[in-house]
Amino acid sequence: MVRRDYEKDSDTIKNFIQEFYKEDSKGNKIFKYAEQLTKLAHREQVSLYIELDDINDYDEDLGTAIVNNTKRYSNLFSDIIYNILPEYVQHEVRAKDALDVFIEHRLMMEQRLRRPNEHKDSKNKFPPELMRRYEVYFKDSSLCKILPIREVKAENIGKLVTVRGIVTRSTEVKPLLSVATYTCDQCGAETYQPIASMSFMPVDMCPSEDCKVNKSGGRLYLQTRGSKFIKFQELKIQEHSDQVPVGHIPRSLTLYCRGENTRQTLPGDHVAVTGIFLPLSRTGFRQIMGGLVSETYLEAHYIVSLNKAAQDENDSNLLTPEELKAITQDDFYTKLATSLAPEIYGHNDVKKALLLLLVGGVDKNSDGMKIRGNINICLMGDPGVAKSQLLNYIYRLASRSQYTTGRGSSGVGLTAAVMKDPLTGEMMLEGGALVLADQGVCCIDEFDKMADSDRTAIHEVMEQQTISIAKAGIMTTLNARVSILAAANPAYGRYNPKRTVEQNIQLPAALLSRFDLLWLIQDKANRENDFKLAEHITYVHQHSKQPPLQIEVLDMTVMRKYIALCKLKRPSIPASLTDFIVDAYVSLRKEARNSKDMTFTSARNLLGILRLSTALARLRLANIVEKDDVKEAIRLMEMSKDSLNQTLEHRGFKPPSINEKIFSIIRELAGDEKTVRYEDILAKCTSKGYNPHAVDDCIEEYEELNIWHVNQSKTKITFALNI
Amino acid sequence: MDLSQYTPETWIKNEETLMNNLQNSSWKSIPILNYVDLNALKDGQLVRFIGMVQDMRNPEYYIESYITINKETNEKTVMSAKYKEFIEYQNFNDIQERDTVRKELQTFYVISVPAENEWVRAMEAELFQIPTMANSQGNVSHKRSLEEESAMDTQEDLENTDLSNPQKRQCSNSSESNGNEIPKTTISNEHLLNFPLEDKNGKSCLVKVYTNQDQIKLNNIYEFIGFLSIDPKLSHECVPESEKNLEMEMHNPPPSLIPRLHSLSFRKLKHNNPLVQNIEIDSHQFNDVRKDVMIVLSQLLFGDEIAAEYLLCHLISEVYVRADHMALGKFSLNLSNIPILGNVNFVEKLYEFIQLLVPKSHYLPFTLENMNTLTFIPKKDYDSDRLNSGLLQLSANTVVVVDETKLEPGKLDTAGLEAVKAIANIIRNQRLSYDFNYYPVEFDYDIPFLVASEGKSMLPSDCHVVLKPDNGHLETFNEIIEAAKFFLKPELLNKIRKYLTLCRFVPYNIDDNVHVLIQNKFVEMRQQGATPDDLHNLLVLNRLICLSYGKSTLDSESWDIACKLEQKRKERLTK
Repeated sequence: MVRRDYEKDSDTIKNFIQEFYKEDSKGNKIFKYAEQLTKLAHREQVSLYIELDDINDYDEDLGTAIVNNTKRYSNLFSDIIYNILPEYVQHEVRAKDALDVFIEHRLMMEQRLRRPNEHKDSKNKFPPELMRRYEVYFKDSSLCKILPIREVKAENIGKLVTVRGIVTRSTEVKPLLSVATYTCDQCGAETYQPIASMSFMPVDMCPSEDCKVNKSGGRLYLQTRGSKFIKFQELKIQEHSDQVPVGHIPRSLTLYCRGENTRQTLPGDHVAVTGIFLPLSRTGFRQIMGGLVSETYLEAHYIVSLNKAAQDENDSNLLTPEELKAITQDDFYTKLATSLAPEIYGHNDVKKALLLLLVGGVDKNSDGMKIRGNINICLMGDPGVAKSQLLNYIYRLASRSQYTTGRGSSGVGLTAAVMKDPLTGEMMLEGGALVLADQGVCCIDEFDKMADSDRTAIHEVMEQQTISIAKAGIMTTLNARVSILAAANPAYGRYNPKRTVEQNIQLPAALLSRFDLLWLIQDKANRENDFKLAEHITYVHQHSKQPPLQIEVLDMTVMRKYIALCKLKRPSIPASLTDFIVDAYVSLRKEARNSKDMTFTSARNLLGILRLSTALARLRLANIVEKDDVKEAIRLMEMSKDSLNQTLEHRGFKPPSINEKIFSIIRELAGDEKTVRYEDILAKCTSKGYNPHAVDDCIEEYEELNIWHVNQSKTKITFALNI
Repeated sequence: MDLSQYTPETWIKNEETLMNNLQNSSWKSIPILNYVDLNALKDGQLVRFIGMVQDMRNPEYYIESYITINKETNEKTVMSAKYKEFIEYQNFNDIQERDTVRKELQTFYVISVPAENEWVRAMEAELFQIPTMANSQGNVSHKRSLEEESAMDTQEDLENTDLSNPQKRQCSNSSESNGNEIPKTTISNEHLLNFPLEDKNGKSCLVKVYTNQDQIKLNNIYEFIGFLSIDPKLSHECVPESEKNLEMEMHNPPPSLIPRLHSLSFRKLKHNNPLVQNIEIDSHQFNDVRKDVMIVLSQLLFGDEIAAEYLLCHLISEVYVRADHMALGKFSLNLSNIPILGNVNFVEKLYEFIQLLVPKSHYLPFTLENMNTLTFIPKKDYDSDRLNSGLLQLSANTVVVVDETKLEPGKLDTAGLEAVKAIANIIRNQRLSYDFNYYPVEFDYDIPFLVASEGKSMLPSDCHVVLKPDNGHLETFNEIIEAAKFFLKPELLNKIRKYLTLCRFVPYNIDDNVHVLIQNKFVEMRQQGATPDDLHNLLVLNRLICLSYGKSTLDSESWDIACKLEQKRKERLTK
């Protein structure tokens, strides 16, 4: 291997720091690092982050070299900055702490005492580590892949890696000696010892010229105030649950944080850490042990607390054109839908709805009015109809999701709780499932069995997408921008079609109306379907696998990527569609009134249609909603209503026809009187949304049945009998 | 080359041929740690260990090769530290830091198969004890001389591998002097051993795996072959007090308690029945043995043949396919209407026999106290960085008998509720989430639960059988037990044991002609309000019945048997 020319690299680095600039929108040059150097020189900034993106722009070769041998370059950068830093001092620096004062004094002393051309003992010279009051860190290139902890292997030793994990343990922040300062009891000379490792061997004999010549055997004493300490913290991070292969135990990694990187995280935080992967050199007993097996750690350079959203974007980038092409075929909508929980047979419309839930509609946020884009769906049905399995699948598929039951197992429950920290006694907010699933999907099984306190809170979540907390002196609002996917069991074991939804589920209408789609999944005997189902099950048992579907099923990761891609789109509804949507809504309302509806049709349904159609447009990766999207949205909504209403027909119960409804209005109008004026009827009926022709038809029909008589001038109706 | 002559050095020099040699030769002659006393073995010897993976550590890095420079002669030697605990270098040698090659290894904590029954251990101990004794230097009968020898061996080893570190020498000396004593630690041995169930003869081992680590999964049973390492200085006892912490102590238990094994090769074991060496299925013999099993089981179940059929199916059940969230083949049984006999506990007696028949089983009295106080779900302990075991950390095909007749009214606390939920979850999905504090991690299970209860159990089940005791049998139950014990002569017992294990290996297929039958049956079932799950269960039952007869295809005949059986079972339910 050819040794790298570090001299040359030093020059490159020096030029890079001094000359690297970016142009802002106005074309002004901004010297990114030079400006920061000024701040460092004035002790206004402590840590300097060198972004590898910038280095790669400047000199790609250098960037690669840094990634492969980070520790060395970290020191190089530090040295170079030390040398050039004095050039950046523009005004006198005010001492910030004792060490600054100490350094100042020593420098003054040195100047006063120094005789020209005097040879200075290197041991007594100020080590640069002592004088440096800044820290240099690297920030990994944005193109670089975040490694799972499992993938950090022996070949990564000494290299810069970025990993993702959850913090499981953190020590207290402790001072770590980085330069030890000693004074001699004989000659008074000061000796400095830079320390790079976790332990050190103190110097005890004075190495100064005076003591050596006189052989006075001066003893050295450690000066705590003159020594330099840095903050130090040891963290442990563990893999995310989704990175653990089946049947394995999550792995963890030790992190050493120094200086400004300490106190960045707490146990339980999700973090991405850039650092150098290094073997740990131990002393004493551990060295014998470590002779063979060495422990490793990651020296932290850059720690970010993660929300999963950032990582979703990464995923979408990874979708290859071929994969995209494979997805966006003609029947992609059905294909995507059937790829959801392929092992669950049928229920295609439910799956389509769930697909739209994953994609979500577009949020509206204009003029301070916020309209949620997230779609909420409630699945109801008899026990054992794969509701929980659908929920479970969505939970696994959605990149950010929570699965919980109505009776949350922990005290935190669904919303949030105020907890007292057992260590510090401080009050803390702990988020429940809804908060944790922010910007994702919250799957709530056994929605009907929810605790009362959660039930009140969920009203707010489902429309305002926030959770307000006022407990134990803490008042705050947390974001809960979630799509809720709920599953509920009927109150009395089986769904009773003769009752309304509220009665069946025992949830208030106010809550149920917040669901865009309510779906009743019923398990009904049907000869043809049962045949297919039996065949399906037999196949599974015979061949130990799922039977091949007509459409090949998409892989979960591909689905995830595609959904992430869809979410980037923000389709709008063109003005030309307004009339169509309005008409559709009006007819929905009318229909709801005319038939004995077990659900409700309210303005929320209109919003629901809009959400569903924008989600459909997103799914097409389109920017504009088309008429077909709206049609499909309405179809889904109708199908969901049908699933609740259709059950009646099967039991010989017919919803009243329009004529019957008008008749009942007329009956009501008549009251005890035997005659009713035609004008009144017409006024009443039109106010209820019936058209005059329908009223005429009704009157005619019942006249033929001899229920009533209409006078010649068609102004009065007289009932034939007292009914 | 004789397997017992292997050393790490010879192995590395000639890895390929020796590996071939190892793969092709029988592993039986290699001393087995499970049954051989540690004193009879020496450091660096080739040994094997059979056990269940209880915990996995983080990967570690070892130096695969390094170069030492002799300071006097400037001679360079390439050394390897693979399969060893300590690095070798003499004082005058220098290690060239630059040329060391680091590789990854992973340590697994392996324990004797939990819930393994007495007869399996006894049989294996008998099988494997003899060759070891022969191997260990001329049949040493005197224990004392053996000890001396091994002590001398270690002494020699020390000289060879000397680090010339006084601390180490001291340490090894002190431990040698009390090598047999159990070292005094702040942590109890039980805690260190971390067994899911109490296991007096249980052994454990820290296995270091150098290749194919990814293939090893938690709770599976493997047979590992490798070099033994019992150097006392591996213990945390040798750590100076100042450097001690809990994790350190946990990770470096005394090797006299938990030896280390540097694995060369390993294989997954499909069963742990020592009677089954080769899988040969002889369906004629199957029928005979089946009759005998049925006699025993039906007599034990008070003459109830239907219940006996179901119990037999239960004992041979196994999850044979996992389609995403479904585990097909699970067959947890609920035997209800258990009679309360005056002087004998029926469930305990039944378990005594089950224990004799299957290789792995566990009896769990379902009392409030047990549920509330025992640890069921394994939990990660971040302070000592290990997975604390729980009662439910069991390997596949362990029959768990839950005795619900012991349950009395009372209060189930949070822990008890969690435990009940966990058991229910295993029965329903054959999965269990371990507690990793920050998130749960799910593990696949394959454990059939037999729940015995008076009424219908509070736990779910795949199949609920109402027992129909015969009065004559009830009165003479004690005599029946005696008779059954007499009937189960060792020869027959072994036949049955073999039969129950072999049943799982019968290949199985569904005849195409039966499809129509199945479909018609299902449509009919649906009219009576059956769910798809009922069909799944029916197909599983069919499969098990076929397997129990040693039949590899489901034909209309077997289908009828199963359907009739189901019908009879259902008739009892409605009554």
